[in-house]
Amino acid sequence: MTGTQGHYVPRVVSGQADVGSLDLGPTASDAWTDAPGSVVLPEAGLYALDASVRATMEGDGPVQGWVSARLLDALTGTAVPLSDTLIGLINENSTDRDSIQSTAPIQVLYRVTSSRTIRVQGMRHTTFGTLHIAQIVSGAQGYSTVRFTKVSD
Amino acid sequence: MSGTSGSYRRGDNAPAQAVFSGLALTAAHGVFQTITVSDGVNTIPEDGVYAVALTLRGGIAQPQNANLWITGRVTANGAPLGGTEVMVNQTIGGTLTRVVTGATTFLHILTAGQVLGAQAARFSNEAGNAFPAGSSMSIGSDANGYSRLTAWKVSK
Repeated sequence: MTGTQGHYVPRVVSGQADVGSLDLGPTASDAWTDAPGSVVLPEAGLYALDASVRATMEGDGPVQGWVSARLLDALTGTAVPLSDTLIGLINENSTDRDSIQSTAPIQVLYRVTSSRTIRVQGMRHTTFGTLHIAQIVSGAQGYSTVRFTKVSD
Repeated sequence: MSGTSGSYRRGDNAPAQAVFSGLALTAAHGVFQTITVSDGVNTIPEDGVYAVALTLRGGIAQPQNANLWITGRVTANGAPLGGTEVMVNQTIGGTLTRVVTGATTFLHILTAGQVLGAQAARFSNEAGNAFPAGSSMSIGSDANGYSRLTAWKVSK
């Protein structure tokens, strides 16, 4: 740094991963399940966590259910606070088939004291009837991704 | 960065994050209602350019064929910030109940002490912008999916 004025040059600490796909059909209602992809926060600090999670669901009425996603701190085994996000809900009271496909964001600030692995988890809730499709999806027509950017020490 | 002035130091990023309460949208077509902050920090601590992310969970239940939608936006000291509008949910069709989460992220110059918030309005494309009897529209925020506002400073 000799000869400089001492300005601090930010070191970029960021990363991104494909969340991957996750079939929530076989899991129990309200059971949080890990998606395949994850990112590693390399050091202590405050991070902006940002995920885009695509879900698809379908059922023959009468049916009501939804798919949610959240972020998990794999070291502590606890959900990142306020990261629960409802991706989509369908409610069909007739015998018609209803389906929806939607992508929702998760944007939260999260402070850690050491390196952490952050996973995306998915959950299907069925209030009544049966969702014969309930999936987190990631592919060429729409990826599910998770990112981090360190914003403060 | 040698020789420059005003270099931004990472670590001064003045974060703010708040979560909203749920809100039943009952006002007339296009009339924005304020969404109450239930927890967190929504006051900007220092001047700068901020990345601001608004996430809203919007629910629409319609008992008959209709075209309804919900739009949200960010406010500063109660006044809308232009360009922050986001269509959270639109349903077109017959008897439907749909809940989805929509979001917008943008950069904005903010000053210390400004209080960020959010508003949402319901819209109808039906005759007279009327809402069908029995229809219901709302912003939701709970453990099944939060509505939230996040901001962090990215530049002076």
